[in-house]
Amino acid sequence: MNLSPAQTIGLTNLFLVIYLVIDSFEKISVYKEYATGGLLNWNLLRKNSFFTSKPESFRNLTDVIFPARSWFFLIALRIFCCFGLFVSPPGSVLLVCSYTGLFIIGSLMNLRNIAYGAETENRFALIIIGALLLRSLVPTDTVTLATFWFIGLQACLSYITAGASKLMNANWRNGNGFKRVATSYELIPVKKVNIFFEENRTVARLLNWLVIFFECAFPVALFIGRGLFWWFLVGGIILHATIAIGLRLGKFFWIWIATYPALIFITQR
Amino acid sequence: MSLWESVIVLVLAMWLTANVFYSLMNKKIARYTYRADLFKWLSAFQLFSERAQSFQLSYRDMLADQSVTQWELVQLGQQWRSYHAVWFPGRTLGDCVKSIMGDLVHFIRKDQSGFGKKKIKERFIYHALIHFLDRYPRNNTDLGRQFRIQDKENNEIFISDFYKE
Repeated sequence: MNLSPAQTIGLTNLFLVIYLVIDSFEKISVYKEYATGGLLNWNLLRKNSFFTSKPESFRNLTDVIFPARSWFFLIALRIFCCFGLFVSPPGSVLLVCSYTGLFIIGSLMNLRNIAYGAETENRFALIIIGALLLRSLVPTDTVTLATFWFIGLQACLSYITAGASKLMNANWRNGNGFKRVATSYELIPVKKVNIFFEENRTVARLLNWLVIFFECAFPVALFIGRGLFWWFLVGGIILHATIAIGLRLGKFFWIWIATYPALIFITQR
Repeated sequence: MSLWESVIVLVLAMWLTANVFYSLMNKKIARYTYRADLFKWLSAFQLFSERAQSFQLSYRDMLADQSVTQWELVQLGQQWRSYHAVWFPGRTLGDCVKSIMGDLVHFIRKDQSGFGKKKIKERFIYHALIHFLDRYPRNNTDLGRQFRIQDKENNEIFISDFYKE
């Protein structure tokens, strides 16, 4: 399968928008947490020393943007920007505005949530949105190719970082890392799964090393030819789908899969 | 390559390079990037590499007659449902509380080793946890609430004073 630059961007946008829409509606559905008494209420978050140590002008600005009412206006605007990605023609001002809106709102989201840690999916989404925003400013062939390489290499970096840090962890190195995750009821609250991996340690050990191998070897997929490359992509989809179902991290699936069209494009050249 | 093309390519190259450095040394430079990288544009994805630490949070109240109620365990997990693979808004709250507890335990252990600069009670996360526990019903006349954090083996890691905020 070969993808044109337009198809590559279209598919990346599609997966990106699925993630953004799910994430935005999830936030809207827990609006009570953003209102008085909630853990994400701005009156509480603004007491974090990160904000209190900032100059008054900065705090005044955050006091305008981050309270629940204005925050949900931005969340609604985020959904509107997603819609903008689909309806705006390539090279249009609306497209640039949509990417800019998504990038700014995503960045503010990380800032607002700094006390509890920025959401991993949102951090990765910002990398993709930022690259596509830059590409939309100068949509030439050179910049398009550089953007796809950037997204593809960021995906490779994310996999190799995850794989290498597992190799540096004694539990994963001695084959027990996967078992610790799979048998943890807190992470996977399905007793049958927990018991299965508790009883089948060989399977758990095999999967432990398979995950490490996949993550560490992923960058090689860019250079080994198309046949093996497709196996890596299928492996990635299975890995992320398993994480989505087992660990209930569904948003990871969409945002990491959003990098695959760029990977397909750069490997077909 | 035109000037604007060069600028965009340069920005992308710098962003990627910064991310590579951040991935290599994020722990060493975390105290600087925490404040400098306001919007978290740099990331190091170490999914499930660290040992998953799980803690239990429970609370009890001191009633007007100075008797103390039983410890109530806070249930953070939600039953697994197949649609959670696509739609799981409940994860947000659980993740926040787990993050608070993880950070609190980190600082408690640091304080015990004498390296803590700030008292636990002065920390934002301590107050955030108190704020979180306020959602659980309590008697208007009680004298205060207390919470504790235990590890998986039920060893007590932290127990707060009775507080009334």
